[in-house]
Amino acid sequence: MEDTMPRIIVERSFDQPFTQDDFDAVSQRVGGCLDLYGVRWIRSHVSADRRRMVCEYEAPDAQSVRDVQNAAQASFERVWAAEVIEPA
Amino acid sequence: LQLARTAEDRWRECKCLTWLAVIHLERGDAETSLACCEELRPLAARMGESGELPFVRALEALSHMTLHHPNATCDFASAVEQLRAFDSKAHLAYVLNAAAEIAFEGKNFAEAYGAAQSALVAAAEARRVCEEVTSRALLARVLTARGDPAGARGWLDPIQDRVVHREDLSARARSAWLRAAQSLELSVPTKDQTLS
Repeated sequence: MEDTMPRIIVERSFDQPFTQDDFDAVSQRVGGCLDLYGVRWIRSHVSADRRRMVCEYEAPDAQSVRDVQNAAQASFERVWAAEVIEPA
Repeated sequence: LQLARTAEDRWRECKCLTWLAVIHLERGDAETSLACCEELRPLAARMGESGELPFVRALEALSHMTLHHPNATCDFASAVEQLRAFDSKAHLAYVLNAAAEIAFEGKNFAEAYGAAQSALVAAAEARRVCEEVTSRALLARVLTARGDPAGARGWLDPIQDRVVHREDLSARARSAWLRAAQSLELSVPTKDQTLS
């Protein structure tokens, strides 16, 4: 079995553009739950209008990431395991 | 559970009810576990993408399997497919181990072996040591029951250190391992001993 941790993607969208304060508050709540579920936050991509966000994590499975989001009360649409494809 | 309900925190309410269902199932009280699942189902269904519903369905099917309800095996297979679709490997390892245990108790050794092997794969992928120990213990017990003690040792030996030295191993995993060791008439090692 390959020993690298799977990458998990979280998709979010917001009715109102989120502010930096919103982001900091959610990040803090999520950060407090990561170790508990063996999850590592890699990076997030935010749309220019601040209504959409895609977050990338490393985790043993997608459910661990769902649990982190729910425990931290961070809203999301979808969570899925991803294969990383990069330029050769 | 009460705190979660007071705070109207549906996800934590769901989690607490799930733990109750698991505790009752592990204590052999399938009827009470089913009652928890009945409460859980609508709650988990409302949580949609939270991924709770497939696990609840699997727990329900396990209780039905314990109670020898018809269709329980089909319902379990369908819940397992859903857990795979949700990439819920830790839950998958847990329910497959539970199914293997039920099959073993019913002397359905081939079924028990298959379920424990699948549980072991999921446990390794999810890095769940307790589930891995439980799977290996079940695989060893099946081989012992089939008269293959050397094969059984092959499943137990690689985890011996982890069982002896890990303080955080669950009571369920430790007890599964002890039963497997006892079925092989092995002495139970302490931190200062190894299996003879």
